[in-house]
Amino acid sequence: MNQENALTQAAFDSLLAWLDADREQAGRKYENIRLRLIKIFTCRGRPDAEELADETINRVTLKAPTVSKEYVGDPALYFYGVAQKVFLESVRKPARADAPPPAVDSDEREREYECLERCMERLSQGNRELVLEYYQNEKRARINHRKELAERLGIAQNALRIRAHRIRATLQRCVRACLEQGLAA
Amino acid sequence: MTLNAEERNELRLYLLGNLTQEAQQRVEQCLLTDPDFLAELILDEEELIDDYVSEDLSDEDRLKFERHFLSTPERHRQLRFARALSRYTSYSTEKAGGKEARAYTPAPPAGPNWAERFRAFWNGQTWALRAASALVLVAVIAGALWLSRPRTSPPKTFVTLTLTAVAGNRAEGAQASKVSLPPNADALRISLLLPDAATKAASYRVELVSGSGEIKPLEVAGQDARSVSVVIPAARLARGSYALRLSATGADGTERRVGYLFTVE
Repeated sequence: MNQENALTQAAFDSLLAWLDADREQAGRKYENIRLRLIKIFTCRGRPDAEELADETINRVTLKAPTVSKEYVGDPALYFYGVAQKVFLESVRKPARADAPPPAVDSDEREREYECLERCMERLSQGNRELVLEYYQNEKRARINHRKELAERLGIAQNALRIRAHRIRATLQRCVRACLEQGLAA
Repeated sequence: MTLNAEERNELRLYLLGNLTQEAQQRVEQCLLTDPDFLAELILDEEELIDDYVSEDLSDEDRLKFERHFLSTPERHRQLRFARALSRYTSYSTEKAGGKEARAYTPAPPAGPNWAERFRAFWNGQTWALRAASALVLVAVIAGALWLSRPRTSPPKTFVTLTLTAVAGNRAEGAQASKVSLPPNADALRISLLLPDAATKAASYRVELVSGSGEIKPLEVAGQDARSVSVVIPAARLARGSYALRLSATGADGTERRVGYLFTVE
């Protein structure tokens, strides 16, 4: 292990210790902060959100041995301060020619739709019906419909929202796997 | 975590990149320090995407969605999925006869409705004022009808194209017919030749799927024993690849779908 690596490891240890005395808990906090930084950069319209989040974490890690001794408050807010600087620097840099999102032709859309049909069939009947009722298209009818659906299921509207979201997330994962299998085939 | 209407509105403005710097920082700090906030943001993202897909966003928000929100490939993927889900649910609801949508109608308001309020106001006015108001109203309605009269003439110059159903898709080697639209063409009339199994259907439904992913239902302009025809205004066809999806529903409710491919050069 060379000196640079040793310093980095020491700095990283300091960072984890700063986040939490329990190393496992510190690891979870670290992942949470990274995920949220990615979301913040994404919400600021940055296609390179992951790179910027990692740059933020690297800078905080390098300063962690000293900052952790002086800083008072939630470390996440320190990350936020650094993220602001990283963001400002990134917008000042000449615009990188980011690759535009890949064009998706109608065949691919048809494949995605067919995958969705298959994934819907894999859901339990209750979940399939919930998806069909929850994601109706007309907005005005949708609001009343969701209210009534929540009452029928005996749950709060927000609990229904979360349940529908979980099923949707399952469907999305299933569709992605289906598309990947199709590409590999 | 449940947000009130104001907080939810703020979150939506944040997603569209439309908050003041101060408000943006408040939201972002919350995102970093509140353990439940990320889940709420993800739910709101989904709802924003769904509103875009169902065309429930204002023109301004639609523009912000396209320019700001759709900044990453992941969000493009989410949008594609939302479109597929919307298509699936609307198709399933339609197939079920729209019973669900009709089952939930809003309750009537508890107080006097606008007609009752108007009647009370009207009865309180003098005879002369009522007569003058009625004349003005008739003139306004006549003017509105005159202005809103249909001015678009049906297409006169067609380019015609006959397509046969394809097995598989472009990636699997299916060939797309090519067509070019001269500047004076009003519309493209396409005859979709029916494969044997779809010829005895009771009804047909046709969707146009463009290369950008937009899916638009088309009105069936004509049908006979061998083909179904649709007319697409030339203004709706930019250069690119398209698919037509024909759903043929038999009298017993069974459905068969076939695809057709064409490219506008």
